[in-house]
Amino acid sequence: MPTRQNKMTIIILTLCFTALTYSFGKALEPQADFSNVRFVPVDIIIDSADKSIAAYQFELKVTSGIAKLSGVEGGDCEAFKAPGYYDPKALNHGRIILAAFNLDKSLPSGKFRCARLHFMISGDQTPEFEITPVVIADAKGNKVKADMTYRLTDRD
Amino acid sequence: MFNLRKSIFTGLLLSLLAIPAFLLIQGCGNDINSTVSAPGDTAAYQGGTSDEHGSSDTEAIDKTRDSAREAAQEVQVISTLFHTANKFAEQRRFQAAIDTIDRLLSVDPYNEQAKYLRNMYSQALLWQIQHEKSRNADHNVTMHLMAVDKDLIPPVEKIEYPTVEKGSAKPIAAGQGIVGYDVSGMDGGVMAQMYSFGKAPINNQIVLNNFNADELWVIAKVDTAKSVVPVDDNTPVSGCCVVKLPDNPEEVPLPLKHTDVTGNIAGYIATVNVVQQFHNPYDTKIEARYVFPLPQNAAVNDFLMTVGDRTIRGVIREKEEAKQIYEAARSRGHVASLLTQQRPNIFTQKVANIEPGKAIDINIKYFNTLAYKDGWYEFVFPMVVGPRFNPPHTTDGIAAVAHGTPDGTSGQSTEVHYLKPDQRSGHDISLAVNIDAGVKIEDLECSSHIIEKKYNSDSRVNVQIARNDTIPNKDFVLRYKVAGNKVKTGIMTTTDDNGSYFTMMLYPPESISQLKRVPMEMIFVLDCSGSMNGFPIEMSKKAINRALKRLGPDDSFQIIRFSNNASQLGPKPIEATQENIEKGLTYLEGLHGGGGTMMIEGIKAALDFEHDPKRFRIVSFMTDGYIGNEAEILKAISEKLGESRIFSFGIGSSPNRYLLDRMAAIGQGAVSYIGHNDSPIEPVDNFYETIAHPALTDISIDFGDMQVAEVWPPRVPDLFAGRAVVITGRCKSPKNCNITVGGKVGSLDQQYTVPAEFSDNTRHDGIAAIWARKKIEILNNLLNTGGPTDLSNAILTTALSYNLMSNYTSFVAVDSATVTSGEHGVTVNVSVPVPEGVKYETTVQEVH
Repeated sequence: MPTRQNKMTIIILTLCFTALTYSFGKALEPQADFSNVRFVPVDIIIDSADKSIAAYQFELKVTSGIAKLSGVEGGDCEAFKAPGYYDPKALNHGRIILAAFNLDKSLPSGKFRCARLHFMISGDQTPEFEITPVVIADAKGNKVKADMTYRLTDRD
Repeated sequence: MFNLRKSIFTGLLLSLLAIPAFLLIQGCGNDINSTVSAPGDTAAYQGGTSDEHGSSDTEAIDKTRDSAREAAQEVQVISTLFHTANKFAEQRRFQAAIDTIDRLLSVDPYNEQAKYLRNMYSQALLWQIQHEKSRNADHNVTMHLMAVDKDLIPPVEKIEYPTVEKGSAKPIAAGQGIVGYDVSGMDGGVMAQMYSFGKAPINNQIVLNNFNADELWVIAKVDTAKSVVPVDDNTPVSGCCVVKLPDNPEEVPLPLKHTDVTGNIAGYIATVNVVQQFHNPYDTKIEARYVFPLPQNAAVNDFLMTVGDRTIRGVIREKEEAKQIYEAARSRGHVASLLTQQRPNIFTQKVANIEPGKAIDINIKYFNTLAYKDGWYEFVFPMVVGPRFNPPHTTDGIAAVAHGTPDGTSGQSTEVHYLKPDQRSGHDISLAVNIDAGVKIEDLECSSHIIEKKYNSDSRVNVQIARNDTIPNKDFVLRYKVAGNKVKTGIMTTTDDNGSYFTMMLYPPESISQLKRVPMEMIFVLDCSGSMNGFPIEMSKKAINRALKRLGPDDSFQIIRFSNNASQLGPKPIEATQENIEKGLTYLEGLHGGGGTMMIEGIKAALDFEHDPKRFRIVSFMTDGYIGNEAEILKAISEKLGESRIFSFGIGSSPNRYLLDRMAAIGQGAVSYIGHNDSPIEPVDNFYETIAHPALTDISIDFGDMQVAEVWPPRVPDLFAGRAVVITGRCKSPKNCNITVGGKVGSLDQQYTVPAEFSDNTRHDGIAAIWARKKIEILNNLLNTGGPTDLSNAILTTALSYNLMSNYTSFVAVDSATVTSGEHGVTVNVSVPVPEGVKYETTVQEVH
């Protein structure tokens, strides 16, 4: 007959075996590694001096590094607070084309953020972009000469 | 030799090694698959029940166990009796309900709830007797509805029936509204219906405006102008009331607080915005996961995530890529959301890193075309996924599991968590629909919900569900009729950078309504599975009963039932003689719901069944469609259809419309739906009207000068009387022209023209998305029925190019600007109620 001590031993050994098996099992499962991935916002800035802006469209290309668009946010002014629309066909081919317009609210002028793009970055390199304004226009649809730049905030 | 000391030492050593290894690998216990046992979650308490008595006192433990078992059995008996009594009451069998409660009181004499119920049922019985007497005596009974604040409800023994004048709407106390509509002529059925569902019946056109109370009282008052003889001294002559039993459900805090739906219908196209308001009611960070339905033809093409006052538009990505972006953002502490498709009508929403007390809104936008059935346009918004049955060999199914069940228990890829009948989450829904029909709206009805409607003109109306009908446990079904039976804009277009697109609603020619059909061979296939138990199967039996009685002497029929297996009335088609129909009705009466939904058995039995070539064979499925192996079923129908045509009836408050619509499309037939509050008579009669005339078949369309391309569906379905189909395509030049439709009615050629007029009124931004969605649907169907595998690339490219949700794409949104503190938190599933009329006990898998 097994003694009480023997019983205890068997229970302890069973527990150990179970814990070890489970631990090793979990260790063997493929775990997603996101240590080399980070997320950064990229602000798109327009400087139109004294001209009010009602519409914009630009194209942004990744020139170095690996960056994937993961969200589109609006700007810091009321007119462009709602996120703009990206062209899905262009995105499917690795290009980012974003546009927005607003004729209803007070239109911004000077230096302002018209959009913020959220990117997932893979690898150590901070990506670089090339931004090309397609159109920047006023409320009457006239093209406005303005600077368009981007600002990347990389915490890492 | 067994060395005890050594073995103990080794065991302890291994324990010391194993436990840290286990903890190390587990991290902080919050791996991707971990599931929170949120407050109210039963799973939270399951792991912590150890034997606290010690091993020495086994006798005491046994005694405790025995008494616990007895107590559990008693609770089970009481619960069953309550349930049975409630069922009797719903059926207006109040005497039976009282008898059942008496049985319950013999088990538990001090059950206050039972006493309360008995009193209520007695009141209802008295009312029934009195009402019957007064009706026989040709006296009027006036009934009133009253909304009453919970705090003002007096104890049952002391109820004083307020005197309410006919049509009165005077408040009887501050802050308390009386809904005093004149509802003379309501009968006991209506009262029972109200009693059961706590809402006004639709058929009587009662609308509860500004209804904001805890209870609904139904006041029956005999018209005192005419003398009424009391049944006895206890029978109230001035009125009697039936009170909805105050529910006392367990509140389950969940991260989905509210859903707000706004639909705008222009012509026959709906643009719908769905806002899901998530929040975190716990004191730890969470990930919310919610499985929810959308219409099966919804073209979901926009996705927004709002965090505080910032809104982020989601991006369409290949499904796996989107998942990886989401998982990475989640592990990095960013607020993120992911929308994936499980079926064309079932989606999963995940929201990561919701901090305690914070709220996050998800806005989903879609377009879809309305159905046109029997002269009505139909807008449907599903609110809950019905509990599905998955055959044993499947792993890609949709499982129905109890609230609190750990993830992965079912072995299926998607799990819907259901609340128990006595549980309630705070999640509610508001829904508004604005219809601009373009022509006069002649009639509008909603049998699923209490609605409020406001006409802005004769062609425009605003509809919203009433504030007391906000539990999301059934499909919202709104139907409207327009003058001339057709909306003005039969053809609609849009033009963008990629060209022009059109949709067209093709109606059958008037002439087919004047032709008669050939004799029929009707095969009724009744789903007798557990989910059909109770109301759904009774409704189905009534529908078959009606249909059998409408068969002609030249027709034949068969009745097949299926659950875990299939069986039938006879081995071959039966002539529709009076005697045989009686036999069929008797067979039908003996059928009950229970067991699994092995629909494949029903399909085989129906479609492999011996066919009479002289008759037109119609196979009519009566089912809620609650299965998780849709692809297998649709493939089988496609392979076995032969000469049969499938005309199904979707039964219940939230049927699987994707399955039933696809069955009808593959089966070259049609589908009708019978909701929880519907009578089966009208759908069955409409069905007979549809099949009473031959269809327009072999349809070809000449689009004139429109220069069309990629028209979907490529083969136009047969057109039946009272039904319309939607055609969509691309075109080079949308200009006014005549479209010529040709086809065959029997052996006769038919041709008719449809004018295509383009104007500002016929433009709609959603047409391109609808076109792309239809293309994806057709390609998917081809793929599922053995088409070339490279079709999946075409589907992916189309979905990515048109920003559309699909089986191969998902929306993902990440807020990279802020990082939440700490680990990514635990996952909380949003549990939902089972659909109205569906029994939890027979459909939801519980883990004990």
